[in-house]
Amino acid sequence: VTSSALGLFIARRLAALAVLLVVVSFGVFALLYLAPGSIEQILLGTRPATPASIAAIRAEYHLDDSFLQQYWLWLQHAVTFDFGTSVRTGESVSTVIGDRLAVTLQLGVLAFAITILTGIPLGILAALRSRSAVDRGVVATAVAGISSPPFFTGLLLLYVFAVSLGLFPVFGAGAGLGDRFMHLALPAITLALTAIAVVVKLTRASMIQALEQDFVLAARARGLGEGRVVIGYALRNALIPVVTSGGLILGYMLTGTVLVEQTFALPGVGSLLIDAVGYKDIPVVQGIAMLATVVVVLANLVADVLYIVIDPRLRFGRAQT
Amino acid sequence: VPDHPHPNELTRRLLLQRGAVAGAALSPLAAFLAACGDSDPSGTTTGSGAKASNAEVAEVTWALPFAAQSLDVVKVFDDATVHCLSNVLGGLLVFDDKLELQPNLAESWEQPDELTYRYTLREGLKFSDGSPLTSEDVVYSMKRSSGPKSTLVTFYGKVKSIEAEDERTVVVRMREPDALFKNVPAHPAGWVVSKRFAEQAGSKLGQAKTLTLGAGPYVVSRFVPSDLVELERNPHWWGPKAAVARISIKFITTNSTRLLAVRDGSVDGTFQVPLEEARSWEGLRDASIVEAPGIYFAGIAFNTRLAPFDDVHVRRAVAYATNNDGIVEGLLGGHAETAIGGCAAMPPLWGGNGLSPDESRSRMREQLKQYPFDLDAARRELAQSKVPDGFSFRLDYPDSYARLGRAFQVMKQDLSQLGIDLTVGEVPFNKYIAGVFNHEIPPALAILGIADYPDPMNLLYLLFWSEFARANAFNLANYDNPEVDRLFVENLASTDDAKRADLAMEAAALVSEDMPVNALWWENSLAAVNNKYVLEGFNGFYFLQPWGTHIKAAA
Repeated sequence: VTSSALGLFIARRLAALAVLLVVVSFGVFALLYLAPGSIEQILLGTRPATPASIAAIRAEYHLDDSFLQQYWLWLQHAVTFDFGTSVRTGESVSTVIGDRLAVTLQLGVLAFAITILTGIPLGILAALRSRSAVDRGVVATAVAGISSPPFFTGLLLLYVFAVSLGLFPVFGAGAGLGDRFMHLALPAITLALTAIAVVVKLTRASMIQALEQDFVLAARARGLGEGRVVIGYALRNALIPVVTSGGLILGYMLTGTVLVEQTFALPGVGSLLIDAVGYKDIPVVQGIAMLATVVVVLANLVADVLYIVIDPRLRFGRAQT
Repeated sequence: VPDHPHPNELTRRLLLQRGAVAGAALSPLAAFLAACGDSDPSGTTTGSGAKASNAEVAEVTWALPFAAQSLDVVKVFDDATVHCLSNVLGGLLVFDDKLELQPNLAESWEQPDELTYRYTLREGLKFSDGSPLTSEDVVYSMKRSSGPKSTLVTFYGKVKSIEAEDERTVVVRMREPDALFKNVPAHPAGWVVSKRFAEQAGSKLGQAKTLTLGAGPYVVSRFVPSDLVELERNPHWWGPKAAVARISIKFITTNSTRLLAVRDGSVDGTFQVPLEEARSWEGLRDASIVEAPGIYFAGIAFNTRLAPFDDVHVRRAVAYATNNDGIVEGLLGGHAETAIGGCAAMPPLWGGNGLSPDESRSRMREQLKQYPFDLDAARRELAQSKVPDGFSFRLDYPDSYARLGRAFQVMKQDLSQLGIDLTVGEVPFNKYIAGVFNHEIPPALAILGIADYPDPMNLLYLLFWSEFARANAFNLANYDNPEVDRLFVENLASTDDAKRADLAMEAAALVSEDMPVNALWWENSLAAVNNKYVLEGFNGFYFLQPWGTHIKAAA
């Protein structure tokens, strides 16, 4: 019963994903279509263009078709995983995105790891010292992190750790594993700082609640060590909302790298997105939007499945809801 | 003169504005760095003053503020691609540091009549892989640039045929005279790729895995789109050996990050230092700023078909009330040149056509109508107009060009003394540029221009020829003066440089009388170079030259 219910749950979510992809792609396509400027103007630049050269470009990119015809043409190819070619460079969209995906994935995953590995311990610390100066200090610092824009945090980190102390490189993605890690450390910390507060506050609230439960009192009464009570009893129960939000945070980390990539001159998907929007490169923007949608939906799906797996109460019957 | 502001007052006002700007700018670092005591108190420096040596340099790292997506300039004609390829491809001719046309792949060229250009290639030219470069490659490349799918096709508008007469001779014939075409072989539109290589690569030419093949001083060894381009010295280049063996070009689009990278020495030099932040850059300990007259201008196009600017007196009144010098000093820190005679079309640096930049400046001061900042003169013009008591109008500046908005604010204050009420607004750049292309021209329009090559007719003709008052062309003032048109036609049909300079000056003089475009400034071009190196012969058109060969070790 359990596995088939879970299978059904996953299947329904994937079907919803397919619908969502169509909706998102239509929305993005419509917005770019409506945005001022046209492809032939962008390609030909600031030179007087002849009707012939404009017509050649309009024909090449089907710009004289109606909006729905253009979208339909894109959709027909997209369902066969052919996302077209970049208007700017003529390269296939899959190649353009694929070339830049590794940097963004590594950055997102590293930032996610930093967020979780600092957010949860700090949240526990704040909960254990609830209402003390330590609690307020931890929460205030985390909130300051979430409140300052990434390009500012990034530049500050660059100035202190790269330029003044010379510990990290200033820009670029580096080559090779160790070098790549050194290049991504500051960007990942910058990105993590925008999300640690969420994990801290969730862990803290949930831990404070768990520590007040009867089973914690019972465990203490049985004379178990404080470490075992906190980790084995309270934390295990407190983690459920944290794991759920983890999916959201991972999705955010993988799709929210735009400003960080710009600040640290990283050749990732975020930088590509800015460039593609500026040049009205609709196929590339569409490709990135599809990818982002899939990442966010899958990250949430994984979190929901984990939720079911962790919490025995959700394992039976309630999985469909 | 009671209403004339005291010069000091004016300076103070502009300085205040400038202070406010520094605080509000998207560069917390500009102020931050200054606060860190790294500024040079002795004042600004222009270049390290060091002499260049011919010592071998193993590698330099150069940052660009834009990112290349392709190494095929026919497909992607943008700043990034041009900056990377000017070291790698190159055309029949090249502009020298004085902006005169010089032989490059061609050893000589002639123009037997106004419709024919004949180029003779150097003997024994080779591409960087050692294969021979012949007239076939040149013809192929120019035809590719002028093909229907090329983004450079507009440079070949009047070309009838491009043919190889023999292995070393290329002949270009025109349908009608176009004196401007002589510049094309030194422009990206005339750059030469290997025919064999390009045909094999097909649509993949210039992509990361394919790269490109040219005959310039450097060869591309690696290209990661959005990230970097690596260049190595081309052993088969015809010219003298470049001093730098390897150039690593990094794309850093955030200016503050670029500043930090130059500051900590991980980048040896960069072009296009942002003018508003020049002071932070000048404060760098280990790098110096090199400055030259540039190719970007900004100003205001008056729609000569719409009231109130259909009245020449109104246009002149606004021009007299524009404090160009104050704006250049106060807002741009002096890193720009006031457009002489308010005429946008005459860049301060055209040195070709037989005139040095200084000669052309002094001739422009003599021959063009001048509009010094003079509120009384402005009042007299306004009194002669149909709106002697003033009027109101609106100016929108593109959001990515905030310095233009600040200049408009300065104008607003001065114009208010004439009873002219200026409303300054901001518009998204893409919306602005779409309006420009569609020729939807309000009574007054912000105008940004870039010169293509150092020819006095370049912008003059693009901005003021009556036939270009239409969509997808850039006579944004809807200027229509048959006498000016006639001078343009005569200019384009002439093969005599001195005569062309005279005709251009004559046309510009007429335009300046009519004041269709009130140009505010020509921005200087600023490069930052680590003091270990010297950037020789820096000029506004450096990106059309193989600039890598200009980098030398400091002696």
